[in-house]
Amino acid sequence: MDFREGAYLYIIGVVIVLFVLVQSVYFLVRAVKRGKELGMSVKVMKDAAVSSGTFSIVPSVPIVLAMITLAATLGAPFSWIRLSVIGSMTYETMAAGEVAKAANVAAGSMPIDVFAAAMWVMTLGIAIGPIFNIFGLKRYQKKIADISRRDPKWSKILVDALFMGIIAVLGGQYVAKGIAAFSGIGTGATYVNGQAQLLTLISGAVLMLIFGGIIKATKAKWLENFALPLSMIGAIALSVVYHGMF
Amino acid sequence: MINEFSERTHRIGRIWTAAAMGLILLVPLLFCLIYGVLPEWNAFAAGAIGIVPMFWAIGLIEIFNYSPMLGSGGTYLAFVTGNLANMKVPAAKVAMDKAGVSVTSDEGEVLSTIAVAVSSIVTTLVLIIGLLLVIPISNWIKGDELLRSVFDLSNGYVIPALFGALGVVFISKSWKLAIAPVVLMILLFLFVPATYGIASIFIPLMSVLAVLLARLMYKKDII
Repeated sequence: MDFREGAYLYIIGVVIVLFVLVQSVYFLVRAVKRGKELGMSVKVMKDAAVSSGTFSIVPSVPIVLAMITLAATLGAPFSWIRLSVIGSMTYETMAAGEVAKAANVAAGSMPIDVFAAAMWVMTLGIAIGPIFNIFGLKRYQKKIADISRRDPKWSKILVDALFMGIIAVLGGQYVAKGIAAFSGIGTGATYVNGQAQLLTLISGAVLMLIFGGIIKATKAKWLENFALPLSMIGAIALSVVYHGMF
Repeated sequence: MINEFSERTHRIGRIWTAAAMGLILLVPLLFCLIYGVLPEWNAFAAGAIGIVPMFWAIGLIEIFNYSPMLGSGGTYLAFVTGNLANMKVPAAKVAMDKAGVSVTSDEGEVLSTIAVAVSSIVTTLVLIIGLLLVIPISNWIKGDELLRSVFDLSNGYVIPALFGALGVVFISKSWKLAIAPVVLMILLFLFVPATYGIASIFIPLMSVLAVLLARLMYKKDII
């Protein structure tokens, strides 16, 4: 039997995934308990949970597809493990590719010792996050707390500004791809699906604005939690139409 | 806030993180023991030298960039399961903004931890389902080009949809903070196509730029 689909990787995969679930539940319960101690309303905490949960469903689907793509190289169980813990398809593919190249084999048919080498490289690669957290996170969080205590208004602006990095890059790339695909401005690169992606992005934005308007007009507060995932799903549904147009 | 709860959070977070790291290390270690192999050393060395320094730099930057948005409990959790920029950070931010709390407050710490925990649980469950259905899903995808296109990670439509919806909320609330980094990135992507390949490096760069500009605007009372 191919070692990539052997029982060992499935078994340890189950152990790891169970660990992740138990850890998450532990922190969740602890946070809720703390919230009650602080006098926070259960509704506020439940809203946060529902909003986060519904938000996370749709973006998890591409990760499943990434897992399936990665499985062609690494086998299903190890690809499942790598995407369930810290690690992404891009990084794992890069790591596997480097190791396979160094061993002069195709990434999809690594012999067992090369596969083991790839496993170690990937494992080492993601270690820095957890290691820093163990030794340095408390000090870093203390610094941030100090900033916030000294100047709470600035601290809020700081966090919002940090978030703009993500918006600018992950959002901006689709605006640029769309502009390039529609107008031909820009040099060189192939903008696969650029027009449809920009239209999808705009649709997501418009739907969100529409939901915002509905919530304001009808005072349907319950809708607030679902506006984001519904806008996403609506935009994705529309993307099918856009995809067919170009 | 650093207080007793926070001290305990760090202690507990470290213990769970160490356990997680131990388990993650066990995967290749037991693999080698059970199958009686040693990693191919040349391939390992070449792969490690080529990959690990870059991954470590990116990983550290991610902590400095994202942990201010995730709180303490949220950071310990998020760095075990990953998927920060496109899932856990937005999830935490939305939860806290909705309740009107700051991430450094006690309430913010509670809500960000709840958001990250639930997000981790949902993704993990979806992945379990995905694994159980991996054969039917693979066959389905192979047969359905449209599905594959829509949910493709780089050329698909999930992330544009997500950031359209998310972006409009944040940009409308903080357009002064957004305008420089967003416009700059769009121009970079348009005129320097190499940017697409190294896009993730620009996240911390744009964050730093946004922070510096924000500081300027703050000092001049523009925000």
